[in-house]
Amino acid sequence: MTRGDYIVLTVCVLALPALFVRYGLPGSIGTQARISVGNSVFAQVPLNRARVVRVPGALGISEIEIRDGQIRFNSSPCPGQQCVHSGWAKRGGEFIACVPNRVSISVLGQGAGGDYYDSINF
Amino acid sequence: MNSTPTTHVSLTTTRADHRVAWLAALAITIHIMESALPSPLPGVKPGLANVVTIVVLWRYGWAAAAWVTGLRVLAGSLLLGTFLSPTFVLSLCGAVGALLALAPALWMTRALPGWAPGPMGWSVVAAWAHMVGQFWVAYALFIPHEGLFHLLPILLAVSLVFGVASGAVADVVIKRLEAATA
Amino acid sequence: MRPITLVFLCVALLDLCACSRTSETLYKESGYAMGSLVEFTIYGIDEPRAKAAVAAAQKDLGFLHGNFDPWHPGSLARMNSLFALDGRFTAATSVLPLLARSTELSQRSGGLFNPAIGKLIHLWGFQNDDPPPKGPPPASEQLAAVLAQQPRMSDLHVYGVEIQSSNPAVVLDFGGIAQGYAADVLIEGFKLAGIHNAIVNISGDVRVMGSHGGQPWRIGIHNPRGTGVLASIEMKGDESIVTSGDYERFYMYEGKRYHHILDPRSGLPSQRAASATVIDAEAVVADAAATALMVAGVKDWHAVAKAMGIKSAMLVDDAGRVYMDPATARRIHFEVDPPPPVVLSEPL
Repeated sequence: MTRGDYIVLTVCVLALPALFVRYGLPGSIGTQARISVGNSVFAQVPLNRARVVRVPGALGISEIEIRDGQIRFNSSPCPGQQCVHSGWAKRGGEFIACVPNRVSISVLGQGAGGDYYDSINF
Repeated sequence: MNSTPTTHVSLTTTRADHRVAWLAALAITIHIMESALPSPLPGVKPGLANVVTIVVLWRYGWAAAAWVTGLRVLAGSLLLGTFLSPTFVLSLCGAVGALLALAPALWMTRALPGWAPGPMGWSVVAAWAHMVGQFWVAYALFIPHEGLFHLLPILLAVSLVFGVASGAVADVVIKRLEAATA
Repeated sequence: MRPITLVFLCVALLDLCACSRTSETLYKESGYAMGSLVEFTIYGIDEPRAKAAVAAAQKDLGFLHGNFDPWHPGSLARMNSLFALDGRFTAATSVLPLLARSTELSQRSGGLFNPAIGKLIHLWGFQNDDPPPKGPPPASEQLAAVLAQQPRMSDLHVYGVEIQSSNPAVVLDFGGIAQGYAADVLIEGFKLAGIHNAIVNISGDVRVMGSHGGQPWRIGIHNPRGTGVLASIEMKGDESIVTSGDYERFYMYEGKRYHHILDPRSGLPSQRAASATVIDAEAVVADAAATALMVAGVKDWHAVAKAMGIKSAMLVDDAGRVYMDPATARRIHFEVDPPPPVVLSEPL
């Protein structure tokens, strides 16, 4: 074994915990979110790919942002802006809604545990 | 040249060609034997043919290693009946990933003697690159499901263990060969 | 690892995830009913029965909403207009049970929960969702005029099915209790339909029953300052959790936040807490108490909770500090890192 071998092994061994933190164990993190308009599903999106989804609701376009395994309302045509103030959601069972624009986001749990939250008190 | 319709083609082969052919045959044998072995874990195999790639890289350079690996993937899939199937594509992408990662590793070993990785480091690098290559193509072509990423840490942990194992074997083989040819 | 086995492993694991989700008999339905967001979660019965029960519950909710809405023509609007006249009249029988609970809870809260201040709410414009109020806030003389009349629940006198108000300023607005009451009614309906494990969530007011296949239900509590979920709590059996917060309905005017929970003593939005959470067996009690504790604020909440017979409560102040009793502290699991500073009270 050379010094280089030790360096490679150390890097790999140190990288593993970081990978487990980043990607988790199979089925431990709510990785998808369902975006609904009214009572129908608009889209189901994975939370580990950053993107912005524009959702047409009753009043206009709600802009929904997905980043780092989290999802939030970026902007909304509603007057109250409660949905935007709600901030990020990330765990299975979390729920954000824009009642005036009829757009809602629910984070879906994965694996045997199902949703982390059964309901949200707000 | 005469006017008869038969054409006689003669291939001139070098010593290096013979060597590649022999080593590829060895790698293919290991590859096929391993595919018949029961797995220690469901879905996990050690990838011992990696040992041949590492030894060839050490003794004969990157081009020879690429030839041996390419022939192993091609002939192995033909013999196992998986040619052009998803298995073959995954195998090919793993091998390409490993070879691409081994090129800078070899360059480092030559440029920085004493500090750069030897067979053990190469083997680990190759094992991870093989896994990442396979994983990328599995995600891009076959299962574009984000849930797949949850498997990545476990797969890399297992391939690290097997990378170390084949690195140790490669180290022993290289030392024996050097002792025999010295 | 050989490639084919990689594919098999992935597919097998993905299938495992998919199976464990679909084999659960958990039925969830959410939607909008009468301007509020409603979510039903039912465990342990087959989907067609769950669907039918939810459809019936939606209908009940529509009926309740129609009865309890003071600002559109209906039972309560009629009663409010008759209170202004001096005389006995026949009350809407669908309103009487909620009226009785409201009177009792208002009394126990020392008037901090006061559904008789509909006039104040109207002055602020918080009865409107569409469009929501924008300010400016009402003039202090207007508020003072209503406060001087001191509308209270004790001004109402019930004689069987008849009712009379001794104060023409009484205008009932059940905004601080109707959702909790409705959640209790819907859960009772589920029980009659043979459902024993369910959650009813009406605009964030949560009533649970039974369990999630033997496991307690896990409820997330919204973070009033900051984002997402502040804490979670596990609930089992007949329990409900209701939070009143200044983030639910508010407007900003000249940089100041004006929210919908009014202090009946001043006529102004309460300023002594960002949110108040109450856990009680009945959602109707938790709802009224959450409003009262929100008004009482971080100094007086403990005395008010005691007077109302509340055993578990949590307040969050403007700076994000959490105030709660020791029993609640044992049950709450903070979901934010680092956890917020906690001020523990005497046991309730």
